[in-house]
Amino acid sequence: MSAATPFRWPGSWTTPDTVDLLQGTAVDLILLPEDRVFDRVRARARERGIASAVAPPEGVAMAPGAWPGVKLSRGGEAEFAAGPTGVPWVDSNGWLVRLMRAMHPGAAAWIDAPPKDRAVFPPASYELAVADAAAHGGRWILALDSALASHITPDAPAWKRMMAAASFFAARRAWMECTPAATLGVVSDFSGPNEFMGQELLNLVARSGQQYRVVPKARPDFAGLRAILYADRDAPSPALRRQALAFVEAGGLLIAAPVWGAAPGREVAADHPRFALRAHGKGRIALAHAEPDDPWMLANDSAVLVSHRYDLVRCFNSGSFGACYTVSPDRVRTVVHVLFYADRGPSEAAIRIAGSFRTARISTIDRPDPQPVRAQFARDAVEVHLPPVPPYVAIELTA
Amino acid sequence: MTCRQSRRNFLTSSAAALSGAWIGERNPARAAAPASPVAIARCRSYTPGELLPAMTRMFDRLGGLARLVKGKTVAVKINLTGSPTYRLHYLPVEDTHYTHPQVIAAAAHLMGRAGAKRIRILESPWSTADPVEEYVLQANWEPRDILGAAPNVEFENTNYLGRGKCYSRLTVPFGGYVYPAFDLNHSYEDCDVFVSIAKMKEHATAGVTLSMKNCFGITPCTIYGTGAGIDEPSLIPKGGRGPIHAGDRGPSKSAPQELHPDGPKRDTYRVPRTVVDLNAARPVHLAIVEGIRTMTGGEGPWVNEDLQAVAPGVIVAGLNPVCTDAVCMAVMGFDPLADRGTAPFEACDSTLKLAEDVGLGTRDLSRIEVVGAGIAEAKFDFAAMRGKRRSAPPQGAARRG
Repeated sequence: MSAATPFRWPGSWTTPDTVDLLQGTAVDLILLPEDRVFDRVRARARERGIASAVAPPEGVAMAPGAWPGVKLSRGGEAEFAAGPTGVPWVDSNGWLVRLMRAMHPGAAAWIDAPPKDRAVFPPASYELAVADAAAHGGRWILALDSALASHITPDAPAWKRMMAAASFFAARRAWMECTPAATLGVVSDFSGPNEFMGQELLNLVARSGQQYRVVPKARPDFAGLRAILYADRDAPSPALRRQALAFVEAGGLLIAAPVWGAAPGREVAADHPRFALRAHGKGRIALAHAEPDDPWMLANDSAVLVSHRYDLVRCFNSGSFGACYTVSPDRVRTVVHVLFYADRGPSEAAIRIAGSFRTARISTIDRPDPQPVRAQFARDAVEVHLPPVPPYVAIELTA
Repeated sequence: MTCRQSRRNFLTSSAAALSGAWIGERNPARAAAPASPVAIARCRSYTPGELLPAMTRMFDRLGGLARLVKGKTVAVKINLTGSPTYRLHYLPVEDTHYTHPQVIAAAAHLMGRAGAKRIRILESPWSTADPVEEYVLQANWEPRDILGAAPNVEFENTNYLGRGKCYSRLTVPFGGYVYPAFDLNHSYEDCDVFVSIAKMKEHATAGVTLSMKNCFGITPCTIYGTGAGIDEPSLIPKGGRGPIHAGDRGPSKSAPQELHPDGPKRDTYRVPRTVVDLNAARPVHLAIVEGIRTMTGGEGPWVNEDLQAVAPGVIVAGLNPVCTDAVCMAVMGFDPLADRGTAPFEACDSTLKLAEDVGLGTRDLSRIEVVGAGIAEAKFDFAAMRGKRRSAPPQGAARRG
């Protein structure tokens, strides 16, 4: 897997001295067009030990993404656009990184989302762009908005915060080996007629606060999950059906639409307006009365069907947030990445993390060395009381 | 969807509308507003070992719970205002602005012991049709602590149609200040006894929020909320009760409309009156206000004031919500006879006065028998803190979100 820190070279930077801006940063690959106007840039980069390329190298899966953050309305920069529930709409590339990693095992996941279509890109939003992809094990291709590119100095706040964030994650490559913990698996082929629902579900399941796993239909892995959500519009294969029913028999929950077909087990009383429940083995099957067409409603229904009792992460006083709960391969260390999408971190957020832990420390991009933090340890969870933090904080826990 | 109005309801509401018009001019009800005893208990903590005996004594002093609930279906409106993930500082919501789950569980336990047939815990949580159990889990509560407190305890989210087949229309017997009747979740009609368990707090719009103001939240946002349907109720609630505050739009057309659509649009006028309308339409049989731990400065962490978590260590209960709230105000250091212009009603009308004016209950302490701990003994001076806060220089930027 490529561990490079890529930087999308601004088209207006044609003089070789601009390469010197990268000295001391984590950038080790610049992406720039083949155009000969950049020949001297390429040469200077080579001298500095920085690779250059027209496109991502082998072993990288790249996808166009969105500029992460709370989406602003078209009416003006000061107004937030509302999502389906009236809560602010959040753009994040986390789900896309997770999808690429699941669909292309072993490949690095890069997000190409240069800053554009907004009047202002605050320095914190650059930090958020880096962290949003890196928290999920991917990389955002560093890029500058045109105003910043044309007035760049090494001390420009946005430049410094972006590069500090890139260095922070480049120094923590071991985190990319951590596995996301999940309660819900979203099962789909995420393509063709299932692309919209499958991908939008990943996005919105994250917004609903659930920790999830991308489960490609061709390689289903339900180990460790509490529930699976079959998202596709076509019936499952007999093999997938058998595997899913075995998961239910062992105590899991299957959430599916009528396309799933007949479900075994006995009907149990359910208070849900959109789902009927059946008991099968030690588990349950929640069958929708109709084919779901609203991914937001389905994402929220899944949170309730699984139950908030099993939330792995709960955030208090956090505004629009995202969290990614990851566990090291030896399962000794847990890293919970928390992102605050309002470009500014909260002053008194509390994060409840399920699990049994002995220690908790936090690190942020401006204070990269792990710091002690106030925490209340209980048998089954820890509640971390964050001091004022920037838009990204990593909570490191030991079992 | 609203059930067709029954002939009985129609007759009641018509008569009430007539009597309401008459009440507006003369007010014989005020002098005769009923008085009822109110019990006060000191209680320093939520541990069942201290809470249960305190609440038992309190109910015994009011004549015993069995008299009220034995063999009955009891509906209990609790207060879960705002999102379960929005806290004052790092404090759990139940220590500042939510009714504490131990108080809910203790009340359910004692009602069960007193022979209640069915105990239904009701709330209309913020902008969701999710089960209340799922809502409180997000606050780190364990709903089983409440469900297991007595036999036949259940929750219902009343912010939408819920488990009913149609909304219940409850009329305001005196005609109403703002609304002549309300379309509510069936739970508020399908009960024999209605209990309001509130938190003892100040309120940014209504001065105080106690057992009566707690009933503001019985209105389903599918009809009365920001995202309510225009003609018919929406299927799920979206947003809060802004339209009741501001009067900028009416409820869904299927529901009874406002009496005076051109009336004042100020929330400080509308909210107290709507609260009285609701309390008249859905009378409270038992009012419980817990102030063991709570907050000063407002009803939740979103209020732009110098908010403080406090521990008054007191619970108040009574069979009449106006009397109960009057005693609560006195315990808080306020004058329950205060009117607009005097704390805590500096900028709003007094819900208590409006309720007294239409004969729901007296706020005159000289007519209310206080049993258990005395007011002076239980007093925790919200009023003094309010005075100090308001005489201090203005704060910096608000902490809303």
